[in-house]
Amino acid sequence: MTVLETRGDELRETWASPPGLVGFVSAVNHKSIGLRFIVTAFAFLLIGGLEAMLIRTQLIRPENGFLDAEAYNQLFTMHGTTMMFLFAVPMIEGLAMYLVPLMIGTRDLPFPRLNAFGYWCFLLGGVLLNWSFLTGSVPDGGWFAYTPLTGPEYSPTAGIDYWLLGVTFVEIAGVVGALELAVLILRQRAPGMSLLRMPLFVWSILVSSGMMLVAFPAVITASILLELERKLGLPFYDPGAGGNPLLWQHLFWIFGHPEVYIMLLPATGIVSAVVAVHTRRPIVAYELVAAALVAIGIISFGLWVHHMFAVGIPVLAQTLFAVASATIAIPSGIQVFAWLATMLQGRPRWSTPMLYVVGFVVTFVAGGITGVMVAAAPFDWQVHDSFFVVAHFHYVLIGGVLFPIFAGLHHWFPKMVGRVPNEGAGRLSFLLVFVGFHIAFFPQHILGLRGMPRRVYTYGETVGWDGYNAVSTIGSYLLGLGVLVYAYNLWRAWRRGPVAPDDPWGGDGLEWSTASPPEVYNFRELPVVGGRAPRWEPAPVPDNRTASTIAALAAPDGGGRQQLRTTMVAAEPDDAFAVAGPTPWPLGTAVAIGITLVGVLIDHAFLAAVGAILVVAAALRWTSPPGGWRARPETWADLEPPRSRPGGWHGLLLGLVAVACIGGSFLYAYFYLFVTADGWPPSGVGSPGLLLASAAVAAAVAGSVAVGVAGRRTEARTPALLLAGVLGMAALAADALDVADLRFSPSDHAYGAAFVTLRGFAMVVTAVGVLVLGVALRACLRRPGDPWTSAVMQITRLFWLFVAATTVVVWSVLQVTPRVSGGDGGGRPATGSHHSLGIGGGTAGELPR
Amino acid sequence: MSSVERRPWRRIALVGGPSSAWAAHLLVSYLLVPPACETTSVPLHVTTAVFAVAALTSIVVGVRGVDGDRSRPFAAIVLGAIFVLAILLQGAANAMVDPCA
Amino acid sequence: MRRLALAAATVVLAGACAGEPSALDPAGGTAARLADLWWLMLVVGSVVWVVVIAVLLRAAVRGRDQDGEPGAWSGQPLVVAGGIVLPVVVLVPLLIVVFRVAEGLSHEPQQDDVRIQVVGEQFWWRVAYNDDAAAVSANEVHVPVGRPVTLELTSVDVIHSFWVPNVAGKTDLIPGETTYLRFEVDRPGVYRGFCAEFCGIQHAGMRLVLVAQPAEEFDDHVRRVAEDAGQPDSLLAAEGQRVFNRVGCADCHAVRGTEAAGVAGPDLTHLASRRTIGAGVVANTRGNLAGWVVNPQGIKPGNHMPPQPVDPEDLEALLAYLEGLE
Repeated sequence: MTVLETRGDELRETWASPPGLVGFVSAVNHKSIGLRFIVTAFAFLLIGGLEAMLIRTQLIRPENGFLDAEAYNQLFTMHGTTMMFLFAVPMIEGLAMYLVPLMIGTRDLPFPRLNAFGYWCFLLGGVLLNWSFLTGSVPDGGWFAYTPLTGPEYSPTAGIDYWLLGVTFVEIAGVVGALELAVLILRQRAPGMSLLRMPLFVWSILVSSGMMLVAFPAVITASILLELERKLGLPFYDPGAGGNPLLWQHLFWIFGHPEVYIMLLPATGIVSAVVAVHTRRPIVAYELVAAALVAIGIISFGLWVHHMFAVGIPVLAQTLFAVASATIAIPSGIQVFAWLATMLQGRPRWSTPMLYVVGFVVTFVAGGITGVMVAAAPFDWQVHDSFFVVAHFHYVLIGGVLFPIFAGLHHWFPKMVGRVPNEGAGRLSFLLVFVGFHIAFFPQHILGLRGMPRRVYTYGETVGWDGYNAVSTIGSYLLGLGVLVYAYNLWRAWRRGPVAPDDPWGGDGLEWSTASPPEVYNFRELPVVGGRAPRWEPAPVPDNRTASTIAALAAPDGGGRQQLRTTMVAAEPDDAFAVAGPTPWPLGTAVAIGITLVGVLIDHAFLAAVGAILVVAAALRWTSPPGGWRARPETWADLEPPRSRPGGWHGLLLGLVAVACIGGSFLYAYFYLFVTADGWPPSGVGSPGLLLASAAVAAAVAGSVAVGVAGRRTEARTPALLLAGVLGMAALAADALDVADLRFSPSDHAYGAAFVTLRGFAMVVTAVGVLVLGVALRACLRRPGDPWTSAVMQITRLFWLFVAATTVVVWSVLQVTPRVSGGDGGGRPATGSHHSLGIGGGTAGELPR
Repeated sequence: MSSVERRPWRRIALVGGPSSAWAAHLLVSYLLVPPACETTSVPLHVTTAVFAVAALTSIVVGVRGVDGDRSRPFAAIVLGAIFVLAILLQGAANAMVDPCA
Repeated sequence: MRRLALAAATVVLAGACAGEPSALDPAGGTAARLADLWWLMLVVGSVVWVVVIAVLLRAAVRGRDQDGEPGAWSGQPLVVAGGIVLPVVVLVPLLIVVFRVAEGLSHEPQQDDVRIQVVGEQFWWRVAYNDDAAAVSANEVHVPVGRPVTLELTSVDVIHSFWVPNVAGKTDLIPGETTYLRFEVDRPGVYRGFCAEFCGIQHAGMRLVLVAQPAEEFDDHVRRVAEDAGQPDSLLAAEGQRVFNRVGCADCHAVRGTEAAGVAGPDLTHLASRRTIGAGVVANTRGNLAGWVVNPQGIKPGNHMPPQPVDPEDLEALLAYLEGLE
């Protein structure tokens, strides 16, 4: 047995998941979890596609009786929800989880257990959503779930609750996946893979992950507010009690437009990967393409109002957003012409992935052009919410996202499964998908221009829409058939396809230097990178430090699942760290969250409370230090100490960015209602009490100081942590006393609702802070000298800074705003009704009723 | 050691400056539309001037900070230029469209 | 070639026969300017698309022809030309046109506009003229040709959106807020409209009719709408009125000038002069009216009107009464 083989065995033993069912539910490896994401998302694609076929069948002729209005509304709601939340985002996250560690030359993700947790949240959330079909209370408010239609008055059944809870559950998976991928990409790239040498797919995932961390919190917040309105009567969206239905639209689209690019950017990353490999040339103008990805990621946050051009916002405000929307064409154009230039330079090989890429360019460019059209505000007044828009976004989402995903799955299938899919079947599927798609969706542009609104379950015989609809439906069947051919091809290859070589396409990236499928540890020796296309360039000679680091990591030597951490920009070796191994507790935590949500869903407060306690218990169990864990093996003793913070610190930082965005969305809601409501606080409600609230903030800030002391002075660690815990609990007690003594009911007016929510947010953050103190205390007592403990301490300090900042901000906002507004109707600008930027004003009901 | 890591704030200015200026310009302009209708559009134009200059300045500062390899900042300059263009076009909207419309 | 394609597209898109809605068959200046903007963007957009596809085809053909090493061509100039210069050159003038069109089609109400109030309700439209509590109708909006019209829009329940494609773009009706839609119609005619924002189970059945007519006819119409209902002109109709009040119609519907003053459903004072029933869902014929009264859920499932179990004689009388409400 050679040395290499021995090392391989040792690595395999270290990284393997335990066998059997326990092993299955405990698995944390990025490839297992990534594949689960991909397979589950593909199943949801088929479900969502079936829903689409039913929708199209209903519309095949006027006055069709195939589906009734109720079933149709449920199906289009579930179709959109499934495709956005259960197919596109999870599929892309799955591909990224599987491929990015291979592409950047590392063994696993930085937080494998968190990753497994994300998968279980996705799976359970998706099951919860679709469970509604068995109960009959299927969501029927559209994937956009506009209030007040989805509020308690107009949607009294549980359908919308399924939607809100299921989608929020799935969003948790999105946020933790994004956090995971961002830390992975920033801290675990192979030595030498500086930011400007990363594959473009990795760039796209980095940008998209950052977007998810900022965008998803907006819809999570909007959903929490709506669920509070539905279950507890807090009137955030009810114009009769100081609420505003347009608040939902702002929050939803601040998430919803970036969401489109969260899916689209990774899809363009796939295209860059496929074009490079199948034309055998590196992508032209790499840096421009990377810059374009960043530009799209940023601009996409400045477009949300273009979904609201019909709500009566001033024309000038609309044109500002029209400009931002049109500007996206520039970075998109850069990407398209970079691929075209690459194809011109190289020799395209017309494999299935490349055909899907060509289909992508043809379709996506058309969708982009209609995108500029609908961004032109006045024209949008005509086609908004018509079938023209349906056509436009299917061009962008099927042409722009599904085609690249199909290209990517076929492209990387041999790597992931170790077998080669059939080319003939792949090309046939492309033909059906491409032709079917255009037959299905091109006529919908015309339908929209001819006045057909979206989301209508039927239409009259004399309105002139029947021919286009019939053609469209037939096209959709072809498209569906093509998807089935595609799926069957992969299924067959998985069962009995020819065995794949390690590098079937002659690829440029590190992923092609692993076995097909890769060993559980990915690379026996971690690679060193000297350029953008490591497989097409001579390997660099590593310096001594790098070489010894790699040698040390190639032998686990009982040190657990050791990984290499590199610096953020230049990717120089920085530290080794071990990641936690398999455990079923991520599943346990996800199940506990599911129990809580079901408790909320069926109005069973006890069940929800039990679930919440179980969530805390399972999470504590999961975060206990991994057995046999050691940060730096002895062989590392002569290496320099790490120069930067632990990965967990960066993970928490990004997590706190997401939580801060949730808090920011609560603040946004508070100020939005402050500006639009009559009276803030409403007459009869005085300013909030100062004493207890201030005491609570003082205690929280003092707690943060105590944690700071604990972090700096090892000898005072335990008492300082205990003191911080006492202060944190004192803060919570003062808060609780204060809130219990409010002189208003949160369900009477949006003021009370927003007040209690913001306060509750600060309290939850403080309470989690107290739990974190418990974890830190446990670590300090059980493993005082351990590097793991010092990492926990750094994390605790960061968290308590956040606790202090949150409580101070919430305190200032809640104390100051009612006082400056003067109590009665102040704070509200004189609104010339529609000059109010879509934020309320004007008087309704001038008409006799 | 590359210039990037010696003066990271310049690189941050190059990438973050124009985009932040654009985002701020969009939000401030949006909020200034109703008052512009009631009183005057001057604050809108001032906003555009301020943020356009801020975006251009951060490009210039950022590019000066990156010495050596001349081809590198090209992409970052294009990135910044996209945001400058967006600010100017939004400024054109502020100038051409009646805020009361 | 392009002109031919354009002409063909025009036939397909704008050649809708009378009564079929189309944004590209404008009935007045407002819709015409939006249609012009569309044709401009279609031409420009098609040119851009063709340019991209031409480059793509070139890459495909070149790839097949050549097997030697690719040249030293860097490719970056193409990216700059196609990805930066092309969009900028196209977008800047286009956006300036958009600014102009947008400003010209402002929804800001003007002093002399004809003002019509429209309230969205699940799943129909309450219509009133000149803020006049008497001039109330439903599901049919009459406007004069040649005069600017401002619709004052709001909703009493969920968000709806008012859209008559031949006349103007759409504007949402939002509870707690008033929005405006301003337009001008030049060509008299009857145009179909729709609710364009998903508003619940019968979103598809929330339609309307917009009648554009010469100014004097319009003024006549408004005057007539404001009048109370006439006396029943037959014994049967008088019996029908008693049935109307007895079986519960009057709980939800008003017939001005009688004791029926319900407000939940459409005002029926001049029901017989309206073109449709059920908010544009079926034509206002005797058969449809009978079907609607007896089982509205069969015609428009999910609407808020319950079935009325009236016996055949009562139905006969009721229809006589309703058909007399001109």
